[in-house]
Amino acid sequence: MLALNPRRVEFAGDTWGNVSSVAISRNAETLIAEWSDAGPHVMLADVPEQRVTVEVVQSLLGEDMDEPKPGVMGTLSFETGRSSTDASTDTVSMTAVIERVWYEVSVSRGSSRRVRLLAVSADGQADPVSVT
Amino acid sequence: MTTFRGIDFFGSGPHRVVQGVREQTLVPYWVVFGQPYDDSTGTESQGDDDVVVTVRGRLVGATEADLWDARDALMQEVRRAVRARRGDLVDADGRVWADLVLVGYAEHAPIDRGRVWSVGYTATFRSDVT
Repeated sequence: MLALNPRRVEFAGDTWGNVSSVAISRNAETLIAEWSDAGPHVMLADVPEQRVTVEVVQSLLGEDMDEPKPGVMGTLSFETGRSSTDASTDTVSMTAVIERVWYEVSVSRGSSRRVRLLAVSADGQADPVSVT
Repeated sequence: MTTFRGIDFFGSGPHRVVQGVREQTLVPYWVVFGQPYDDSTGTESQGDDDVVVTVRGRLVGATEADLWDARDALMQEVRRAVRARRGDLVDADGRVWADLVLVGYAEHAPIDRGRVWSVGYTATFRSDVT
């Protein structure tokens, strides 16, 4: 899932401004692939463990002295929609833990802060990402 | 379909049949004659070792209960009396290993719950078990 210029991005009660994108990636942490004696092809494939990660990119206009810290857990939420008047706005939210915070500085593109979070499911079964 | 005693224990998921080591039991002469002596090098064959065949695969269930049914069937087979559980193992190609006993069932890791419930296992069969 990719949200460009999402509105009202909040994490753990703080508002994150100037967010240019929120990208949600889903990866197989464990991939089961099983073969049989019948031939060369996989007969069973399944993903019993998966990891949902979120990368938030914020444009920075100046210094950033109060960066979020790895290990902090909270609710990440943001609104999507083509414009502020778009009636089909969705709110995406999840519980997540900050995994990494880093910066990119470029003369041509300016400065940005990137935050990677790991989404956490309440019970291990439900999808950690909800869209309402 | 691989069967043991005509029962489809493994059909819930993919599996592979592995022929174990076939060898003879060799005993050093000094063991045969009781004590070492100058001319005691060499060994004596005591005959064929037991046939060992393993089935390695993954039991699969649409629900947790389905998976437990497949696991319980194998575990109960291991626990049953030797005389009652002796039988032929027949693999998917019709190859027969006669007169075996299911002597072991081991799971490789915790149950996996993805799209289906599943667990990897090894079932061990041996001949000449009394």
